[in-house]
Amino acid sequence: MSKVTDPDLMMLADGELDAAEASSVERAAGAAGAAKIAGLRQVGELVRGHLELAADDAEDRLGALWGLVERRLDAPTASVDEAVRAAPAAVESSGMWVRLMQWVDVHRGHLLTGALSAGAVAALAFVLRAEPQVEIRTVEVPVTGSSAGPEPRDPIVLVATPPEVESLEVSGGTGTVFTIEGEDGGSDTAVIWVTPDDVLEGI
Amino acid sequence: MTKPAQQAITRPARDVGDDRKLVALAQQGDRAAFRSLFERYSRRAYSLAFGVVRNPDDALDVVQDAFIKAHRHLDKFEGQASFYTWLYRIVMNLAIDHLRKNRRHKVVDFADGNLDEGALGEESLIPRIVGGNPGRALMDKEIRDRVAVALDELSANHRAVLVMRELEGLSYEEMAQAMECSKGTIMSRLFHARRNMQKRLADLYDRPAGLEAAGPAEDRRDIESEAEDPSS
Repeated sequence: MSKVTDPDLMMLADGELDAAEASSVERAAGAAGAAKIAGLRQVGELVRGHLELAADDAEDRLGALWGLVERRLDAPTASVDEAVRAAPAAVESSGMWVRLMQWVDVHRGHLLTGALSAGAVAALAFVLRAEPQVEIRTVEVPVTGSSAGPEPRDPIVLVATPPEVESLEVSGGTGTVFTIEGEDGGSDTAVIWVTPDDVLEGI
Repeated sequence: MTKPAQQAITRPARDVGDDRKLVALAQQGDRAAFRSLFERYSRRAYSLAFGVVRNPDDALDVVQDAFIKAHRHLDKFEGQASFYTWLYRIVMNLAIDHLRKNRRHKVVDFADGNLDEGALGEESLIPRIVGGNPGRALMDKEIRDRVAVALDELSANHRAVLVMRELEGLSYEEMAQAMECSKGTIMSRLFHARRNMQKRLADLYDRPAGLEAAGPAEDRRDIESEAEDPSS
C-alpha cells in the first residue's frame, strides 16, 4: 500500500480491517499515521471518560430510578406523561377511526339493508309469537238491594281483539306489510318487507 | 476493504447465559429478575442516553422509558441478540426521538454522505494527545467542561455514532443497522465527529514536532461550514 488515507487509519484503529489489510496499512502508516491513530484513541478515551463521570454523577438518581420504573409498571392506567408520549399513537388511532367511518360510508347501503332486515325479522318473530287470541273477561255485577229489587242483570262480556298493524314507519326505507293466508285452515302469516332507500336509489 | 464483524473493543464481557435466564424469568412475570436486568444495565443505558441527549434529567427519563418499554415488549424479545443489544437500541431510539421532539436549534451534519477519501486532506485528523493520560486530564474540570461543550456542539447524528462507537464499541455494520443507514454514512459521520471533536479541543493537544495539523483559521472555517451546510 503506497498511500494511507485518514479513513484507512480510522478503520485500522476501529478494527474494521482484516488481518492482511491491517498489517499493510500499519506498515505504510509510519510514525505519522501511528500518531494520528493515537489521536483518534484519545478522542475515544475522552468521550468514554466524560460519560463515565457523568454516570458517576447520576449514581444516586439511578439508584432511585427503579422505584419510579416499578411504580409505572404497577400503574393500572397510563400516566399523563405517557399519554402525552402516546400522542402519535392517538393520532394513529383517530386515523383508523376516520378510515373506519369512510368504510362505513362506502358500505352504508349494505349495512342499512342488513340492519333493517334484522329489524324486520325481529318484528316478524314478535308478531308471529303473538297468537291471535280472543280474551274473554267476565265482570260480575254486584247484586244489591233486597230480593224484591230489580232482576239481576246478565254479566257484561268484554272482548279484546289482537292488535293489527296498520302502518310501519321505517327510517331510511320503505316498509310493506302483507298477510299470506294459511292453507287448509291454517293460521295466516304476516310478512314485513323492508326496502332501504339506498337500494331504491341504486346507491 | 471489507472485514468480518469483529469483537467490539470496549464491550464488557457479560454472562449472556445469565442474561437469558433473567430474561426468561422476567418474561414469566418475575419482577426480581427484571430488576436484576435493570441494575445490571441501567448505568450503561444512562451513559448512552446522556451521551446523546446531553442533559441528566432527560437521560434519566430516557432510561426510565426504555426499561418500561423493554418490560412491555419483553415477550417479543426472542434472544437472537443479547438483552443489552436489544435494550441499547431502545435507548438509542428513545434518545434520538427525544432530541427530535425537543430540538431548539438544528446542528446540521457536515459531509454526511459516504466518506470520500479524495476530499479529505492528508492532515484531516489531528495526531495525538492531551499532553498525557486522557483519563487523568478529565479530572481537570476545565478539560471536562471543554469535552462536554464539544460533544454538545456536534450534530445529533454525529454524536450518536461517536457515542455508540466509543461507549459500546459497535462495529460500523452494527451502527449502520441501528441507525438504518449505510455503512459508508456511518464511516463518514464517525470520521467527521472525531475530527470535529479534535478541532474543538485543538488547543488541549500536545502536538509532536514534524507533523503539521490544520491551523486555527482552518479549524474555525470547517466548524462554521458544519453549522451552515444545509445539505443534510
